[in-house]
Amino acid sequence: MPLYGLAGAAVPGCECGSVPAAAALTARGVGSGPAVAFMLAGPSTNPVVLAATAAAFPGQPAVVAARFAAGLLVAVSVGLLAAGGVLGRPRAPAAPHVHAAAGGRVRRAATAAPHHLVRALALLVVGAVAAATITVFVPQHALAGVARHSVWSVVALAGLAVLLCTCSQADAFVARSFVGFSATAQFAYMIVGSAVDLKLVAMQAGAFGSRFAARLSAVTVLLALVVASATATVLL
Amino acid sequence: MSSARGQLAILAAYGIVLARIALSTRLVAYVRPATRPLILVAGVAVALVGICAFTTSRTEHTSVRSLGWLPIAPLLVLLLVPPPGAGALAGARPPARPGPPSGSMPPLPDGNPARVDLSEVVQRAIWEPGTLARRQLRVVGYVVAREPTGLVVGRLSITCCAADAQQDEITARRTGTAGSYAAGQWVAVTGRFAGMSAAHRFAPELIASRIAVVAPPTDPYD
Repeated sequence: MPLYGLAGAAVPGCECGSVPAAAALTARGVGSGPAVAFMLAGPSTNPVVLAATAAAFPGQPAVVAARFAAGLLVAVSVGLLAAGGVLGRPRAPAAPHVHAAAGGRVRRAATAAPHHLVRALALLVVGAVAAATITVFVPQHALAGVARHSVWSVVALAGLAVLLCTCSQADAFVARSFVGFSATAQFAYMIVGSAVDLKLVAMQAGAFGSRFAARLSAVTVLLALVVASATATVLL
Repeated sequence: MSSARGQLAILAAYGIVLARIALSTRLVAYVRPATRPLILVAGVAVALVGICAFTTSRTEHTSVRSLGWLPIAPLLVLLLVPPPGAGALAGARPPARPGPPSGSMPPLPDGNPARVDLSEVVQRAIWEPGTLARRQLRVVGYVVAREPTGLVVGRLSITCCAADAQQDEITARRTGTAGSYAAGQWVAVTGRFAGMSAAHRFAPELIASRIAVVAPPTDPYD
């Protein structure tokens, strides 16, 4: 399980790509636990994201280390819950690979690719529309009132992270822009946002079924919030 | 044409449109110019996958979900909706305090006036204002607001794509000129740093000796 989490760290880039990759893993028989760990670890722990975090918080290597640690911890713990059956079972993959038996691996990949692309794109549209609408209509200065409160500020930024769907490479800069919020709240924005947001939920629902995705998202948000707060309090 | 092939046609069209945008100046309205090769490759790859699948598929048993028609939405947006102008993205986020520089900042480039990125002026003004003293600065940005005392000029920096755009601002003090400029117009402000603006948060104030209209730069982001 931790190996799959660490393997996620090798996948560069942002969170959208992790969902189809994890779906492909489950389609090939990998258990839902390791697949979920892989999916959640990637966006938080890969080198591109860590480099971006380092650039956004220069002179604060603790933030980068904390992000890696918290991201891995969230991925592995949610993965353990999934493996233990707490989240139910993901729906069997819906892609009928019509020509599955024929041809070598390249041919099979080429046959499956258009189907995956269409689905991933469609689900991304759902998430992107939600994110764009919220970004435009939610006035960020409305948050100013809650910034001082030690607990609610963390919850508020975590909630905003789910709604705004910033790419995990960019969220460090956005987190930093929430002037007046505590380091813990900004950190929660990064950790929760990389693990769960509206576009990820849409893609996960498409890949694993709505029931599994709903439970996965709920559990991940809670765990990410707790882990982020604990890590930030200890390390930052 | 069956629905499966229809969806593949949309996929192929999407890849083609993406590749075309990657080859044009429209790209900068959405993402950093540095991503151009990546987007071009992605567009071509998606188009090829779509075209190959379209031409080789027969109508058959691949189940088609109605969800699969959704990609037509971004396709229509890209084809029909003109990209926004420079300042249009900025409204979502108020200017933020820039992060501290790693290590002490090098002196300004030579030249009178010294050409400096707008975001760098903001960073220096807040963290090392001494480096801005006694120099004429030349800063390029777009007009954010026109006021009796002068202009507010801004420039966006983006990390990943337009969704995380952050606007940095300076104020250019030059009484009575605001009327000659339109909001969103690109200008070059030449002036001296005079402390932080009282009215605009995180905005350094320049006493402007000259404000000139310039052509929009090929890379509008800092």
